[in-house]
Parts: sequence; structure tokens; C-alpha cells
Amino acid sequence: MIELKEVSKSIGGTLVLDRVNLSVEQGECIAIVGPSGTGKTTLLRLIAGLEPLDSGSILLRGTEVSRPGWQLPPHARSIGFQFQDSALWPHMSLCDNLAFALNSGKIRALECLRRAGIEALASRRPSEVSGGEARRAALARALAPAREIVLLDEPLTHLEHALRDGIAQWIAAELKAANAACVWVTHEPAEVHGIARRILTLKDGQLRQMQSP
Amino acid sequence: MNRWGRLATILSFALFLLICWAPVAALLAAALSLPFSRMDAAWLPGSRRLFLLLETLGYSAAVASLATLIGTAAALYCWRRSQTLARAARMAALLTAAIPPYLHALAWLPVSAALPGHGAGELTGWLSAIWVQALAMLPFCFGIVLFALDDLDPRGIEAARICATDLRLLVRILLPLLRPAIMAAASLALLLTLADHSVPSLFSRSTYAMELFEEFSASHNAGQTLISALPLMILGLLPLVPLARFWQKAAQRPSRSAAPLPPLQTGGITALLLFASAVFVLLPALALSAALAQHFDQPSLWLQAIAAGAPDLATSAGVAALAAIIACLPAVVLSRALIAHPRTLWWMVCTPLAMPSALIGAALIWIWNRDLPLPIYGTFWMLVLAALARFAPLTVLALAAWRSRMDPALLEASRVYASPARAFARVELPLLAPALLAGGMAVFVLSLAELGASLLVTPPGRGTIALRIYNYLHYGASAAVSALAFCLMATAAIVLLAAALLWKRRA
Repeated sequence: MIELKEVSKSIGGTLVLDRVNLSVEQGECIAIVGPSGTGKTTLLRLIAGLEPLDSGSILLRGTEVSRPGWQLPPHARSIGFQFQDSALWPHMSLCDNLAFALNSGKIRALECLRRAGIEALASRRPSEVSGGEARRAALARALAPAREIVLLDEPLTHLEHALRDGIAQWIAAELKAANAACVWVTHEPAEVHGIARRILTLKDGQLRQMQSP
Repeated sequence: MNRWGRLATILSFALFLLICWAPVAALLAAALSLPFSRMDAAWLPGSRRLFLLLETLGYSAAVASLATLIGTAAALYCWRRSQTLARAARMAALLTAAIPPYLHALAWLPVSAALPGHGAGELTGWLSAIWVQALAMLPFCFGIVLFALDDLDPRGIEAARICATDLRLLVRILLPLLRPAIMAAASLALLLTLADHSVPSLFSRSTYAMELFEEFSASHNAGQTLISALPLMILGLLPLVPLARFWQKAAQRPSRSAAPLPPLQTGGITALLLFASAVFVLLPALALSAALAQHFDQPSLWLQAIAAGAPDLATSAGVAALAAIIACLPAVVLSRALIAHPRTLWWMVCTPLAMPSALIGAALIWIWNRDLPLPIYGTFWMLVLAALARFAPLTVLALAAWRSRMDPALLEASRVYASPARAFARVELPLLAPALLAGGMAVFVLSLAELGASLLVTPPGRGTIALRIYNYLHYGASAAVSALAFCLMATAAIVLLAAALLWKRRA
């Protein structure tokens, strides 16, 4: 479903990703861990098409979407992306945020919010809800049904511990229901225990250690 | 960037260059066509001009110092003192920024005439001009310093308050942190004063900008006027350096929440700061109200003046509205490019701001006063082009500053979920709306009262409200001037208040 072949990327003269190879099957969730600044977010941005790659290629659903000098626009990749800071559009209500992302009517957006447990907040703007609720809304946007590929950039960071377990379980259930391929980037391997099938460590630009959780 | 994005970028750059750089290019072409002997004579100022240049510089520096001093003190007093006072001061800054310098002069002309030594001493005229121009520059200086204060990290201030008195905090922490903002405020006041000649001329004092206007009026030679203007333009470019530094820093800094902070307890200095705030908030409003009220008992004269000035006001409002809308068009794309390449594009965007207004008028006449397929010369559009050439960079700066403080993930998220056109229409444009509103309003208000270039390019049979007021002011403060000034300020205030309400609703 997601395939990276010999992908390299430099930022400001520093090699962040060095001939990275990765394959994620449908229904599989993998986690990428590593300290800050190692290139985890860059890897997700390359898959999403938000950054051009220097060498190698990326395939989604068996079709090449990125190669040096060419890339399919992000919106044409049909992916879900959870940004680190939620990135909900402040001028839209939660419902409008989802409706815009799904390119659908409000009924489908409301259904997604219901699944996230925040249907009652549908008419509120992001500034009018708590951090945990905003994160749920952003996750609902990323995990909306029919998204076969989901990229999660530290989805549980800055959340209270009491909330984390509940949200992690909900994410796992949604991923399973959608049979989605997921790349989950995190600082803490403990977050993805029981959810990720593989845990990879990104170090010195390469996905090095692999272990089964 | 897709094909449409590239096309939008090219069109935006082309429009901006046409608006702001065509006058510069035209002046250069006119100057290069001059014989060398005339170039030499114009470039090397004689002793009279040299003295005038020094006088202008001294006048501008005095205005910048006074406005920055009072503006900084007022901002320090108002900073987080109380919500009501802060709101009142911000509103005062917004409204008084819309009052052009020559209207401030209306309030102070009678005072100046009553001063001892008036008519005989040059000093009285200069002191009056400095005071009036400083009042006009105050809102800008106050706004810049208050913006910088609001942007300070409250944790750093709180940490300093634990180990030092507020007076020490002011001297050792706040003022050093504010230095770039204070420099920027002074630079802006210097830049705007160097290019303006309306206030000194009302107090019978001449400046270098006035000399340029007179030279072009007499010779109609744009090239020679450009060469004569070079010393002033070089002086005008210097303040852009601290302004660029401040803008680039401010634009990169994320906005901070306005955490409550107890007011500064600075002993006797608090009284001085309070006095400065009173000067800033109350004095211009009181002085103008008194000047207007002086002739309020002559309603028939007011009505006559308003009826006579109504077509001019309509022209000015039309020019201002068109300039505001057109200035926003290239700014959307250009602001994006300015963030990506700030060092290269800053000068392209800001250099036109250093052009004296008379020079812009001269350039536009040089471009359009010939046989062209577009018959612009002698029409209303000359006024629109003049306003755009002077003020269009402000919308680019406003949008770029706003963009820099936006979370980039918001735009990236829209790219993940929607096509570029849909993402632009539904996410980028609404997110930019407050900055478009602010930039557009700045252009509207400044264009409404524009005088320097309008003096040269106003078509025959038409006039602007600024021109009418300026002409009347030379005969002193009369009921007609009061009435027209009231109309001008009311128009600006209504539009600004409507914009402020819209802004509040969006926020």
C-alpha cells in the first residue's frame, strides 16, 4: 500500500533521509520512533507529497506518486494526515473542517464526529474546544472512512495521560475498521504497543532497528 | 506550484512592478535622456539647497524623536494596564492614524499665530511644524512599540520582576528589548516626514520635498526633478534598514497570548508615562474638536462648504476604494514570495515607499502625458495610480507579516485534502482576510487624504477633498475648512470602524 524505494532527502545541506526503504501493507500499522530532528516528520511529509524528494521513489497503492522532479499533488493521493498541532482551520466549525476535508456534505462530517465522540461540538470552532477535543476532531479528519492510507504525526503528544489511552484505542479501532495502512510517528514506543505491528527506529537518516512489539 | 499558481505569480509580480516600479523606471529613463551638464548641475546641490536639505533633515529628525519619545512612553503606560484603557488607546491609534498631518495643522494654526515671535521668527514656524507633524506620526510610533510590547514573552518579564524593581526592569530589560521597535518607529516617522511637505508649508516653512514640487511645477522636467531628489531619496532609503530588521524579526515571531501582568510601578516615571498617554489619546482629539467647534455656530457656511466639497469627497472616496482593492490583488501572491525570499524582495517591495510624493506625480505625468492607446492622462485614473504607487507596498507588508505568523500546517492540511483552487478559496483566502482588510484599510485611509502626488496629477475640472482643504488652509482655519475636515474624518472613521467590526467578527 505504501512503498518507499531508496528515498533520500536533504534539508539545508544535511542529509535527513539516506536511501530509506519501507513497505507497509494494507491493514498494517507501523510505528517510527526516534528523537526530535531525526527526520520522522520529513518522512511523513514526503509520503504526503508536501515535500519533494531528492532521489528514489514513493508508491501508493502500487502507483508511483513521487520521484525526483515530479510528484502527484497531495490532494490527489487520498490520504489522511494528522499534523502535530492538529492544524484545524480556525475560521471553520469542527463540522465544516471535516466536511471540507471529506469534500462532502455535513451529514458525513457529523457521522465522523459522532464516531469520535464529539458530535455535540460540531458547530464550535477549534478555539472554542479543549486541546483533547480539537485533537479528536483532527484525528477524525485523518481517519475519516475510506481513507486507506493514514499518516499520524505524534497524535498523542501534549495530551493528558488520562486521555491518551482512550484516544489510542479509538485510533486502533478506526484503523482496523477501515483496514488502513498507517505510519505512526512518535517519541514514545509505549504509545503504540498493541497497535503497531512493527516498530522502526529512524537514526542517522536510516530506518535501522526493527523489533516486534 | 501548478500552472495556474505560476501564472498568478507572474501576473502579481507584473502588476506590482507596473504599479510601483514603472514610475521609478520612467524617472530613470527621463534622467538618462538629459544632457550630462544638466545632470551634473542638478545632482550637486548649491549652498541654498544644501542648507534646505540639512534643515529638512533636522526637522524630520526632531519630528521622529518627539513622536517616538511620546509614542513609546504612551505605549509603556498603556501596555496591559487595563483592558479598557488598552482598548481605548488602540482605538485612538486607529482613528488618529487616519487624520492626515494637514488636518492636525488646522487645530494648531491659531495657536501658532498667537505665539510671540510669529511672523518674524523662523523658529516659531519650525517648532509649530515639528509639533503638528509629531502629533500626526504619534499613532504609528505608538502602534509599533505597543505591538512589540504585546509580543514580549511574559515569562521573561515575570522572571525579571522577581529580582528587580520595575524601574530597573524598564531600563535594563524592557527598553533594550524594545530597541528594534523604537528604531523602527523613529525610522517610519523619519521616512514619512522627509517625503511630506504639507505641514511646513502651512507654517510658511519650506522643505526639500516642497522644493522638488516647485521645481517640477516650474520646469515640467521629470528627469531633472529625479536627479535633484537623489539626496532626499538616499536619506529616505536609510530608515528602511531598521524597518526591515524589525519587520523580519516581528514577522518570524509567533504571536503570544496576552497573559495578564500587573502594571509597571515606576514611581515618578509613571506620572511622565501617564502624561505622554494623555498627550497621545486626548490632545489631538481635543485640539481638533475645539478647532471644529469654533465654527460650529455657522451652520449655513458648513452646509455650503459640504455641498461644494461633496463631488471632491466622492472622487477621493472612489480613488481610495479602487486603490485599496487593486493593491490587495498582487499582495496575496507577493506576500508569499516575500516570506520565501525576504532579503531579495524586501527592497523591491519597500523602496517605492522612500519616493517623495511629488516625484511620483512627476513620473506619472512623464509616463502618461503622451499619445498612448490607453488615454489615462487627465483622468480620474491618474489619482488611482498615484495612490497605488505610494501605498500598495503596505498591503504586501501587512499580508506577509500575517502569513509569517500563521501556522504553516493549516495551509499544508488544506493541500492534503483539497485541490489548489479549492484550498485557496476555502482556506487560504479566509485565513488571510483579516490582513487583507487591514492592508486594504491602510491604503484606503491614506489614499483618501493623499496630497503630495494629487497636487500634480489631479485632472482639470476635478478635485480631491485633500486638495480643497489644503488650498483653503492657506487662508487660515475657516468654517469651510472645518466642515470639509469633518467630512473627511467622518468618512475615514466610518470605514475604519466598519473594518474593525468586521475584523472582530472574523476573530
